[in-house]
Amino acid sequence: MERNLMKPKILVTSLTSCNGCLTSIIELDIFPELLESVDFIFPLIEDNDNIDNCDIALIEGSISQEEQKEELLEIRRKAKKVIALGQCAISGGITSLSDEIEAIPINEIIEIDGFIPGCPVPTEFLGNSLMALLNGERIKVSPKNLCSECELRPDSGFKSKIKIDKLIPEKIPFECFLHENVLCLGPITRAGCKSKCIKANIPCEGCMGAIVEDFMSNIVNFFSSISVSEDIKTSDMYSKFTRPKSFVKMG
Amino acid sequence: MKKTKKMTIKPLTRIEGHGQIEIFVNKDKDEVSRVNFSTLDYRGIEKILIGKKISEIPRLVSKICGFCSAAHIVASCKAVEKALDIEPTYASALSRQLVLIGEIITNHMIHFAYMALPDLLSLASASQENDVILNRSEIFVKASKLISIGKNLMEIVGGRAIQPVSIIIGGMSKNLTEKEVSLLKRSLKSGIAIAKFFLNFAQEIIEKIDDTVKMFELKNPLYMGLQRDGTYSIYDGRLKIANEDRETLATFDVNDYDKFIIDNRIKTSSLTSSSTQERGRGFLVGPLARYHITNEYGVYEVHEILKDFQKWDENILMMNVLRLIEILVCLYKGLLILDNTEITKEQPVFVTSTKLKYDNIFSAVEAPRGTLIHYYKVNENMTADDVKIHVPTELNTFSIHEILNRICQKEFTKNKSLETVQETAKFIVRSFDPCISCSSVSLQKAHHV
Repeated sequence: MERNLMKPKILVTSLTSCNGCLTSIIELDIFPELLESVDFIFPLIEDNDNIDNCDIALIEGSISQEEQKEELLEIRRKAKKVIALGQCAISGGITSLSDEIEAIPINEIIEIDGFIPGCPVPTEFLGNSLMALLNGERIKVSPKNLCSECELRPDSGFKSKIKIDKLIPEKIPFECFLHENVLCLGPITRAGCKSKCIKANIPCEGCMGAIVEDFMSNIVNFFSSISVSEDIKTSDMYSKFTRPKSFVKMG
Repeated sequence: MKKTKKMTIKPLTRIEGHGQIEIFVNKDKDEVSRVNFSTLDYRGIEKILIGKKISEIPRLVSKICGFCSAAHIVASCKAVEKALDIEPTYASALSRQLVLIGEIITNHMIHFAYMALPDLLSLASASQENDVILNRSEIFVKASKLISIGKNLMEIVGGRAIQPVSIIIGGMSKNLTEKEVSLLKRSLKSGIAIAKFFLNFAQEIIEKIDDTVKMFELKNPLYMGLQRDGTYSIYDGRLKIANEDRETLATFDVNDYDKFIIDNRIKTSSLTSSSTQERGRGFLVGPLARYHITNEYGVYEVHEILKDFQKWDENILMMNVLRLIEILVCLYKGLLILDNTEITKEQPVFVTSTKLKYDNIFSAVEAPRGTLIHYYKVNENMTADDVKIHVPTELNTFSIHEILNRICQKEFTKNKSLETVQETAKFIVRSFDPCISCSSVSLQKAHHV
C-alpha cells in the first residue's frame, strides 16, 4: 500500500461531450501500464466517482448545465493541475452549433493549466502529452500550422490567387487542396495530428484549433486573403469545433 | 411521514456518458414500486442537423459518439446515397464493413474488460468461497491488445481510429494497399487466440455464478436486428423480428420502420402471429438480438464454442458472453474480407451527384450496441427538413425498464435488501452497455431512456 502513496493521482471525467477523448485514453497502447503506475479516478471505467484531491484533472467536454459549473469549480479546488482535453473543453466543440444549449469552454469558468487539442485528441499526441504531464513537464503543442507537416504542401509556395468553391473534394488531390478549389483549413490549424485526414484524401476541418487567437477571427483573416464562394462563406461548418466568439458576418 | 422512499444512484459509473438509476420503495407495502434508469445529458444533435446540407451530415454525425462514430457515419452515408440513388462500390462496401468490425472489437473489449468484468467478478465471489483467480494486469494487457487490433483496423481503413474520415458519400476516400492488407491480416490473426482466452475466462467465471444468474432470465423477449438471409450482417440486409424460439415474426425493409416500430415498441398488429390489441411490446437490439434473429454467424468455430454457453441463451448474462463471441466472429469475418482481392483493386470514389431521387429515407446498420436507424427528410435544396436518429440504447429503453422493474421487485420481495437491489439494477443496466452520448441526440430520448 505504501507504493500507492507515491502514485500520481489523476481524475479523468467528462462534461457535455461524446466521450471520444476519454476513449482515446483507454485505447492508448500504454493504458495497461498507466493503470499500474497511476492512481486513477475514472468513473467511465471505475466505480470511484468522488472528486478528490488529485495531481492532475483531465476534463473532456463543454458546459451546458448549471450543475456542471459547480462540478468544475469543485474540481479546480481539488486538482493541482487542470487540463482541458479536446476541443469541446477548449472551445465548445460540436454543440457550439446548437441553438438550444450552451457550449461553454471550461476556461471561461476556471483557470486551466494546459490543454490537449483535437476532436478527438490524436492518439500519439495524447500519449506524449500524458507522459509529459506525468514527468512534471509542460504539454508541447505545436506552434506551427498543419501545412508545416502536410505532404501536399506546395514546394514553391501557395498560388497568389486561390479560389474556393468546394467544401468536399470531388477527386483524389494531386496537389494542395487549396489549389484544387477545395477548402482546407490547414493554414490556420495547429499541427500535431500527423495530417491523418489529408493522408485519407480529406481536407483539414480544423479540429486541432487555431494557433493564435480564436478560430473565427482566423477564418475571417484567411477568407480575406483568398477568394471564397458565397455559400461557403455563409456556411456554419466552422463552428463545428468552436464557439463563434468573435464572429463577423460576412458577405 | 412519506410513504415512498427514493434512492438514487447518480452518476452510475462504468457506463458511457452520464446516467442515473432511481429506486422507489413503498414503505407501507414494503415493496419496490418502481425502478427507473434515465440519462443526464442532452446535446440535441438531431436539431443541429436540421437545415444542414445532406452532403455535410455524415461528417457531422460522426461527432454524436466517441464510442460508435463509425456506425453513425456509415448509416448516414447509406441514407444519403439512397436519397441520391447512388450505389456505393463493391470494394468500398467491404472497407466499410472492416471499419464497423474494428469498432465492434474495440467497443466490446472495452465494455467487457473495464465496465462489465467487475460486476461478474463480484457475483462470482458472492456465490463462491474462493474468488476467481485473477491477474488484473494480465487481463488488461490482453484486452489492450485486442483494443489495439480494432483500433488499427479502424485507423488504417478509416483514416482515423475514432471518428473515421474516409467513409464518404458514394464510397471511400482512400483504398487499401496490398501492404496494408497483409499487415491487417497478421494483426487480426493474432487476436484470435486472445479472444478465445477471454471466452474461456468468461466461462470459468460464469460456471461459478450459475445459481445466482437464474434471476436474470428474460421473459418472452422479442428481438430485432439486421440480417441477410438469416446470416449475421452488420452492414446491410433486412430487419427481422424474432422471438426466443428463433421464430421469425416479421422481416422488412428499413424504409418500413415506422410501420413496425413506434415509441421503442413493436406494433403487435404488424406481426404475423399476433391478433392482440396491445399497444405494443418492448424488444431488444444488440448482441443477444443478433444471436437470436440469425441462424448462423457464418463462422464454424464460433458455433462450436457457443455450445458451452447455450444454457444461458435467454439470460441477461449472455449479453456479456456474446460480446466476446462477436469479437471472435468479427476477427474471422475481417480476415475473410481481407482475403477478397477486390478490396485493393479499386480507386477511391468521390461522388458529385446533386439529383435528389427520394426525399424520405431510412437506413440501418448494426452498431456495437444494436440496430442504429437514421431517417432524413430532404427538400429540393438538398438540406434536411427533418432528422430522426434511433440509437440502440433508445430502442432498448422499454425493455430495459420492463426487465429492471420485474427483476428488482422480485429480488426485494425475496431478500428485503435495498443494497442487493441496487447492485442488481446496476448489473442489469450495465449488461445492456448503454450509450448515453448516442441517446443525447434528442431531448425526448435524453429524458426517457
